[in-house]
Amino acid sequence: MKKATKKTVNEAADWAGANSALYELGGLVIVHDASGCNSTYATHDEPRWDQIPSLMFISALTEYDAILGNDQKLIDQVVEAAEELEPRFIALYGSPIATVMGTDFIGIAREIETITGIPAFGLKTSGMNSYIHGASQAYQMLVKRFVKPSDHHTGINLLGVTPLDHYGSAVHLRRFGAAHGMVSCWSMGCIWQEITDAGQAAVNVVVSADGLAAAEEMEERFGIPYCVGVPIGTAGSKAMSELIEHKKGFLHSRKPGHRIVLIGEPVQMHTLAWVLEQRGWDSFRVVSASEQHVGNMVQTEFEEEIAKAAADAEIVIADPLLRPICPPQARFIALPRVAYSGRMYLNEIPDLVEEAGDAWLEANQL
Amino acid sequence: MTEPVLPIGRVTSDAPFESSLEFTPQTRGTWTIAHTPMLVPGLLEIFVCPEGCLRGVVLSAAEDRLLDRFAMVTVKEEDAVDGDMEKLFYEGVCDILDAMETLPPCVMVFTSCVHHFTAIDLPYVMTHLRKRYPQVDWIENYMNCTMRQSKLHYEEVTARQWYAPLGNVEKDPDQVDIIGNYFALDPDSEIYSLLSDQKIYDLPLCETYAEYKEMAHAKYLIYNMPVAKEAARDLQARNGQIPIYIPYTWSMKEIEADLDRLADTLGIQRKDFSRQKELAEKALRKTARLLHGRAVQIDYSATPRPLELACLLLEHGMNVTTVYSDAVLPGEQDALQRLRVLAPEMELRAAVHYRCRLWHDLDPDCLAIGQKATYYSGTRHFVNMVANDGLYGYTGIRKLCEQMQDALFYEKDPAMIEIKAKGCFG
Repeated sequence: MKKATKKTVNEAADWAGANSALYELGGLVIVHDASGCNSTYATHDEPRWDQIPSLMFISALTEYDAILGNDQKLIDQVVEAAEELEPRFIALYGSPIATVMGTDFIGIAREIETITGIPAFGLKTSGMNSYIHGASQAYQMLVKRFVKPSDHHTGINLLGVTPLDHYGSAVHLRRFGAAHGMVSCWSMGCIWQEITDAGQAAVNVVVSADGLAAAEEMEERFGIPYCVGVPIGTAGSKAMSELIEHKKGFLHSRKPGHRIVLIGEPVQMHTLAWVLEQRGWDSFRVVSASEQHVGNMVQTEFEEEIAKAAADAEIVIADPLLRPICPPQARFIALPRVAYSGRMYLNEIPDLVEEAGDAWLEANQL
Repeated sequence: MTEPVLPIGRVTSDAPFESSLEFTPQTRGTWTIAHTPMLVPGLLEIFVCPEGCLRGVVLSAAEDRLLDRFAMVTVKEEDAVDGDMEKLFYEGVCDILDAMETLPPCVMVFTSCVHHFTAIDLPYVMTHLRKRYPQVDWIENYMNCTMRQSKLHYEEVTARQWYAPLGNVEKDPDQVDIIGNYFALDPDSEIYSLLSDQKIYDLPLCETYAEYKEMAHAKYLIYNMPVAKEAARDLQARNGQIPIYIPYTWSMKEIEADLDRLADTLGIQRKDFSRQKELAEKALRKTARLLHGRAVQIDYSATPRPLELACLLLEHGMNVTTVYSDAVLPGEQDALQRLRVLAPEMELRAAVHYRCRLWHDLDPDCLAIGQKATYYSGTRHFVNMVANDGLYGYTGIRKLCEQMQDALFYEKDPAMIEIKAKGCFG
């Protein structure tokens, strides 16, 4: 039965993705939940929790609030905190119980904004979708509410840089970005002005699926084109530079198959497949839980289906916690991700960008 | 809005802080709903929940190398609205068990808040699971953190459910169970000394499922944590076992009275513990001398009676400046009244109020007892105590003093308070 999981874990949920996207941006972020969501996120999904301060809280929802639909309590508490903490913006979204309650986060946010004068928005998270779903909404909302149009365009924005997918590569990604006249990096190491100035970029570079919706929004609003891929290894970096110059393109392999199965965030996995193809490998299959389809991929979050997709693989590249369901005859290459194994292998998450990626590939005989 | 910090002299109610948005400090040593059932040897946990809820419990199991005793069924949005939750639950659990080479002796299934609010017919599901797998002991449990104001807190329910498979069997008058703790009661404690002729069963010490089931034979149950009250009540109602509440108290007077009460209830001879009491007093005096006025901070995750501990230390000349607790806990009212006279300026600070987010390095030179006190003070001199660590009585006081002395001289890495469920390993 596909929804039963016996040996592995599951990915971070949508509200964790939204949290991760908004973490460093100075907003007041409230997850409407009893208690567990924030604890889970702070422990497993947010390596920055103790290093960088944030204003992320839980609403401490009780059964009476749920049964009686006590939105006023939430509004009052948020208004009080906002008036004291003076955040740049306020974001509200929820957990499964808020979904069952039918909480109108958009309406509640509108009311809070009217009272406080602080920009506020609601997102549709339910705790029943992947982190990409949540982060994607958060980034898209930032475009809609805060990015200013510009008459001149130069440089790039990096979209989709969160620790969930790029913990090991974030610093190097920013360096790559800087070498291409980076206007903003969404959103690790990002200052607020980068976000509002993002409309000045000439091209968006989508480095993970959660940046796609923001890229499409900026294309529609400001005419900024985008390309998709990660500068993995020297080859990937050179290829991405060309995509940036041409202001379009999607770095992915054109040799589908099943001999090499890559399981993880789809943009990164597609790029890795392309890089491996340049190094003489072929027959790739990308498997991802992302609801946002990226290229040709097997979309699933369920253990049984992941195992089936990898059943004939000769090489599997995936988070170490997926090893138990991969075929024993396949060579397993560990590529940990915070979005999957949380903090368990934090120190082993590699930097894959430019020459660091080459070193990783060499070390893994790829 | 009330500030989340008050001088204890101004605390007049059990809930001194208004409800607010809540912050999560990075202190993870307390055991969660994913960890505590693992105390039952051989038990398999199956969580049937949305993925956001599953994330915390499954990674808890993974970090503690317990994934072989953990499985889950993912609830998606369509499951919450299409009215087929019972089918998902039943088929998912069956799928998990049917894939196992050997069935576990016991399975604990967990629902989440969503099930409660969509009114799943759990008894129907459990009836069919019991019918299909009669050789398994089935336990229902509920990860419904939303139930924060109900008559029974969900943690009390969980503690009760640890003992659900224990049936009504013949009682052994010489057997006593210790229930409700996730750490074994200290075998050096006066309780063990008093019960030297009794057979004692303590869940954390059970190594096999058969040994765990032997707990049903105890005539008497001792519980130390207030959260175990419901478990005690249930075992009394179902099995006729007689509960005796011997709280984790720091009051010398109460320790003496409780030990006498325990002896009298069991019909055994009282013992003289004046030597242990003297050693405790000596340890307290020595600790006070070594501290030399250094501030001490305590929190509620270290002990269910943080105010009482504060009283004990203050009465022995130590400078307790702060207690972190979001409420005045059960059994602490006397301690509160004493503190209002003894140290009216001592601070009572909330631990999860949103303003706590702004508290950093409140007193890095202090000695902290408990993880939240450690976190907020910023100290590297701390006693990493969780849920009393099984310490009881005069011996418990002496041992705590020894840990305080050790903490005074030796720094610790605060990263240890981020390890989930102190002491729980697969």
